[in-house]
Amino acid sequence: MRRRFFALGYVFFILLTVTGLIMAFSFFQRLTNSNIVNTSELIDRAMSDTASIKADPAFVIENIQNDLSASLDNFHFYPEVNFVKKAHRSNCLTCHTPMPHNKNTGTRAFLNMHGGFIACGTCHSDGAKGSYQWYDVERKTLATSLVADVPLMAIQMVKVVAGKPGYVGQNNPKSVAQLTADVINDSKQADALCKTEFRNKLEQALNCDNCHSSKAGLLNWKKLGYTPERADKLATLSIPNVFQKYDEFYIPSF
Amino acid sequence: MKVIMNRNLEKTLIRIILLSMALLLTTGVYADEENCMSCHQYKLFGRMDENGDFHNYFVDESAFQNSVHGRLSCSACHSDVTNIPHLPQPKAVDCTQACHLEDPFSGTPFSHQPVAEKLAASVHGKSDVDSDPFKPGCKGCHLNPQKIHVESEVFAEINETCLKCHQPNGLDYAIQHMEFHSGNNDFWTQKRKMLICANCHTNEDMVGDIFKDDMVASFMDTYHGVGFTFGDERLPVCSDCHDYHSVFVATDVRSTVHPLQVGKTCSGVGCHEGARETFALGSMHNRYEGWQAQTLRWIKYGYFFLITGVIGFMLLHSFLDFIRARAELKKHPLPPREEVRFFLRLNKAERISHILVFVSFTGLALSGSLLWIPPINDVSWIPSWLFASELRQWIHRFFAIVSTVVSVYHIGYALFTARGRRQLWLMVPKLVDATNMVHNIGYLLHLRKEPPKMPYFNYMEKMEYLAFAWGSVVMTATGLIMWLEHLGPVFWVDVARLLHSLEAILAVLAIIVWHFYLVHWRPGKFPMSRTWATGYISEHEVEEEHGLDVDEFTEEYHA
Repeated sequence: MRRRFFALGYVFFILLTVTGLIMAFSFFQRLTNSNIVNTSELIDRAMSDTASIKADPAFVIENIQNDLSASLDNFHFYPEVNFVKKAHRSNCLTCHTPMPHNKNTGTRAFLNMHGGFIACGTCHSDGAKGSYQWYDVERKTLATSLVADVPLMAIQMVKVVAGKPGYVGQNNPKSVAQLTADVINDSKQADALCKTEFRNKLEQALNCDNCHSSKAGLLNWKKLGYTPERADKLATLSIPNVFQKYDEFYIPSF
Repeated sequence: MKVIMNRNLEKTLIRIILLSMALLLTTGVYADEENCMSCHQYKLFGRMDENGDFHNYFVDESAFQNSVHGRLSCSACHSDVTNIPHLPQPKAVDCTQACHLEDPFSGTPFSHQPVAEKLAASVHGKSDVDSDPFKPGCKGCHLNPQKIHVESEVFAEINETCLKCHQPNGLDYAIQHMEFHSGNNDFWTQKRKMLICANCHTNEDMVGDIFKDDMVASFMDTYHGVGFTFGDERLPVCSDCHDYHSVFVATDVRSTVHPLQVGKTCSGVGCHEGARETFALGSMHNRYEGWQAQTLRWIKYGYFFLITGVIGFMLLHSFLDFIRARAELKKHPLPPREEVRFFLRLNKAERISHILVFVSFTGLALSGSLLWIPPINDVSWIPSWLFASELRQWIHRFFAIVSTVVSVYHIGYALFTARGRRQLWLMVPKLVDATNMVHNIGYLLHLRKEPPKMPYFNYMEKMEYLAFAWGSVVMTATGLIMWLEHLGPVFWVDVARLLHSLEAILAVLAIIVWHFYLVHWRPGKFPMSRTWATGYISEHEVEEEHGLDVDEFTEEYHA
């Protein structure tokens, strides 16, 4: 009985000492203002759970003040959509955004849409003959089909020339060394670099007809893993005709 | 492909097929009649303009259908889109246009116009400059929220009752719609409400230019702000006091925080119900000026000095005493307990009082100390229910009551019992205590050979008692003011809160640095003096610590 009684004393002794030390510690932190998070940091951190982007600051962040305001800018905007993971970025994305097309008001959105699953160099190519296949960017192997719900640009259609897939990732040491800050700021130099070093003729880009054609186009739909019905739909797609042929266009069902 | 057996079967099958189609089509989801999704279903369908702004034309169909606008067709909002491609470029959607969803009771087409008018009249309203980035507009705060279905017993019951007569078609949607608008929707959590305002109101370009101060930072210092950082969902954030659409400057009489309106704002349901008009006349953003700010500053700096001074002195004193006492103990070790005579120091009533005191003190310190912990890097190790629930508050108040009752009993004991009166007289500080202190400190610094002879309560114990008495008075008074906050202007509550929190630090530190040293840490007492439990002290303790009043110790312990 006496021992239990004394134990009570020890318990409260320890409890109170620990509490007091915590209080003293907190007090001196407040006194010296050390280690205390300021409001903006607190809010920044709190905001990080509203969008996954914060986990890996992508270059899109420079253009978007913070994730919440970006998502609010467009009613149907979901931040994950514009976000391309580091591992999936091609060399072109060192300078260009995931939506590089802007000049032609009619086609630009459609062209940008293709960027999600077709590598830049596939359309902006020097005309050499090759076969078109899916390429798993992270694993660096050819894939057999475009799987649904992959992250943006994770699997790209590339032109395979002499067994080599036409894709240059961002961790290519040669490209990183060359693309220094000076070069990026000088658009003429950067342009020249793109045209010569990477041999991508920007002017000689492919047309819609090259693939979306019922005549023999560049793509082997079967090799790309499409079913005959789907291949037929893609080949006879009417959307390109909107810009090229029709005055009036009635929306078909897809 | 087997041929259908007979005509009747064929008819029945067709009917079944048609019926199921009809049922399936009445799920309350608006089909994309114009087939906009044929292009807009693709990700990265968009562009970046010359200014570096992204324009994303992708629409996540399932997300949209699950949103509050899911029943609307695309052209209901994008009313100027008539051809493909959409040239000239469609204008931004005007949220105030009426859509053809009719309000079932009034029959008028629904429109966000009334809310837009409220916003336009407010301080966030349209400016002269088009697309002023500092005026948020509708999309500055609003997303297209997903319908988050919250399990609600009330609505589940309503649903059941209605379904007894009405068919389910469309009823689920109606119930969900009512749920959403009756606040049973999780989207606008306190955190999101804070973030949406803080988004602009902590923006460095705006603070100082557009707003006078960083209101968010000053809010964080208040009790409501501290609660927010701990995740307390009960406490208000920006729009709970300032309204969300009808925000006005505080000097505008239409503002919810204007002196004539603020009483109503603070005494709303779930908040300080029953608070008087005068209660709210303070500053929720700690923006006191003049004598009020001066008072708070004096208290703060006064206590900082007091704490560092007093505790500093106690630390030094204890440290010196520790060294000296250890040396003495080595020279003259303590005799074994069996050979020592013991004398009464605390009688039963006193012992019980002391136990109640240290239990309630610890309870108070523990429950109160949680509020002292500043938002350092990661506060998540404190579960929010500790701060956020009423549990902590009521634990604190319970122990406060215990402590106050014991204090009152103690005062009665000291005044109305013979022993109490004698002890009270012995506790009064006298000249001998001052000389004792000087003499003892000299002894600790090796300036004197012998320690002083000290009375029944030596100067250290008197300091202890006085500090505790002073602390109790301050804590009880300020605690009571805070408990009864509804009665007065919130400025006094702020004063009480400051005093209370700083005195708490002083009290707890004094206990662990002074009292705990004397009874726990001191060589010879370590790990714990047993007097609080047994009531007796040893002969050598009497001689060492109370040599002047040896005759006061009359009751000896006999086994």
